[in-house]
Amino acid sequence: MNLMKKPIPWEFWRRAKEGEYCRIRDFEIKRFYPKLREKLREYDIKYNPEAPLLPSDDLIRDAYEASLELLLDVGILCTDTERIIKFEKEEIDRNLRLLPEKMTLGSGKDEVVIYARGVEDSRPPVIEGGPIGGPLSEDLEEIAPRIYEAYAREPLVDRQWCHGYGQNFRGMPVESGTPVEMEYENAIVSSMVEGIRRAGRPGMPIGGSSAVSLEAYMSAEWPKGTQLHAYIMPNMKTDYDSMCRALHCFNRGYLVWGGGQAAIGGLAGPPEGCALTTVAENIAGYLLYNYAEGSTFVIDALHSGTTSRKTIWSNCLAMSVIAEHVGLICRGIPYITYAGPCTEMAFLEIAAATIGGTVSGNNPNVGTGKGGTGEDLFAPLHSRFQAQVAQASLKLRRGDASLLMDSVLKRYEGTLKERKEPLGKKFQECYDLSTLTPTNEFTKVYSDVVQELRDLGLPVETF
Amino acid sequence: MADVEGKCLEKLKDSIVELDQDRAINATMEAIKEGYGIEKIVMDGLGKGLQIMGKKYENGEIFLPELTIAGDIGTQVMELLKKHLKAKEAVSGTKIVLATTKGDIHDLGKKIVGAMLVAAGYEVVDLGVDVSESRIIDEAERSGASLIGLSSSMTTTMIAQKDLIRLLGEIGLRSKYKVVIGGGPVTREWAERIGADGYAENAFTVIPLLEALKES
Repeated sequence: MNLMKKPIPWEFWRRAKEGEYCRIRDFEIKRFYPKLREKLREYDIKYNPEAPLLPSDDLIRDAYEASLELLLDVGILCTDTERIIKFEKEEIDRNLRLLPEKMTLGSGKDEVVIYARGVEDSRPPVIEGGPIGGPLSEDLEEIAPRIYEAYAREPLVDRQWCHGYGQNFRGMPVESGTPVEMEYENAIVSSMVEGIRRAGRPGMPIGGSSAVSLEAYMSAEWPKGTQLHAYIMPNMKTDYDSMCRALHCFNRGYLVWGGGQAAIGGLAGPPEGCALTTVAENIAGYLLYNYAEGSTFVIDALHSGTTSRKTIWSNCLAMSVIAEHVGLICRGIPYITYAGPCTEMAFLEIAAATIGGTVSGNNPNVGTGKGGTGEDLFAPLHSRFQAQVAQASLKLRRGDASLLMDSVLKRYEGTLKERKEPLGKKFQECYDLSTLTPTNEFTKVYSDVVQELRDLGLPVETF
Repeated sequence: MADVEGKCLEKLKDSIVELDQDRAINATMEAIKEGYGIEKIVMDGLGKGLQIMGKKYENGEIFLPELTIAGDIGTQVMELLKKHLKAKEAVSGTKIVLATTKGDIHDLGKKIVGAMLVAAGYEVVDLGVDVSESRIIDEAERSGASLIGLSSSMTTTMIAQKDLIRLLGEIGLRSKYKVVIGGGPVTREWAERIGADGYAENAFTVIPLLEALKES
């Protein structure tokens, strides 16, 4: 049951078998990267740390043209066959016209409508919370439902996501491709369903999947309409595993999400290269896997995170292009923060990314702290804060938003440069587990940052 | 020796920085004809060029593709030196086998580490992604490496780091290799728990870590 208007892309998948042969390394070094540099030069797109953080209409248009030409010229390499899947301009145009302008997620009273928002769109974004992007501790069956319940108890959190595994489950290591992984994936789904039920929001949209192996991915029973991932791999590559995941979703009545994963310093090079690559990968993901929703996730290859000045600039450019010229519903940053929960820095990171994301037409999300390296670094209060910052940003124009983001960034850039971001506290340490409410200490940090933002001119309301 | 000012070595260094493979090969041939020894060519030509590229990468002036291409040119130059000077042992750097562990297809971090190691003069045997423990050990044995570097980007695949260390012990090879680990969810505590010889938080810490291990 393919839930999208766009048919199952068998023709594009066929090209993975019949396209031009190209070795992976040649594709990366001789084909993709030189063409990316060529497009950046041709359109004169270059990151400037002194320039406004949010792009002008001209830059957005140029970046779209350059991204589209990049995709048309380079194509997507199937790593299993080492053959290139190429697309025609007419195919792209025809398929983009089939994109939905909005979608309804979840069920019953917990349904939410998510829009393909535009730049400076006054419609509020859908806020996504959940234990995203970092590991859960070993006592999954004990702590995970509590975490999911705590997120679902936040009325401003519209949907919930899971993207992260623990190291052990029931005394055994959770290894990719083993029965333990399959069982763990099922336990995650059960925990999520149980958590949102306890919070009285049984129809809350959920999704994510943490499964690495295809067998674990396919073993879990999710509610119909759940969004599961099928990625375009960095940079502009895919494989049969992803095609199988997409087909599984079509057959089971799930929606597919995915997106770009370019890393600054990696094969996509500078921030501007990552932005173009991210746009091209989102278009490709829609063509190959019928993405119901794309995402931007430009990170720093050498200091994993999305909230430095250059990563925010790059993500916001990609989001703006997708919002204005592609029309794909899109989620994005911060996803992960450098600092952990219960710290001023984490709130500031969320604020900078959320102002940028909201004004750039994105549906922001926030998950784990400390670059996804620590267990249980999740905080539903972060999602509440994100929703409030997004609401306050709805009337901002790009110029004012850029100035605000600059002021917020300056408050934590020094710490980031010195790589002294605080670890913060685990969910169990910054929440009262009997009431599932944040501790007084955590609430105080939150209130102080809200006041800081108000002082900077962002009218955050703590409803 | 006509090249008293070391111009061909300077040319070799510059050609690495400019990513000009043909010029690098020509400069290397000139240096051989001028009678320079391998150590001099490597230290004052090739090595300097690669060091500059490593520094440029750290400063964000170049990116992984340029660093990779520089490493490729360096490898070509080394091959040429081995062929013409028949002194493989004399120019061999410390050898390290790199791999992303079984079940894991993330390779960005490992690629960066590999390129930086080449730039620092190491001989890198990169086995790619989703590599089994037995293959890593086989390749380490075959290549004569003394170091093994393992990257894992997910909790479900970092267990393979522990498995490799255990397997090395079971087959009596543990003391032969220094095993260093890294990757997104990998922590110093994990490294200590599984008995790894070193933990690299990011690509920049790998070289000092390996140098310290070599000294120990």
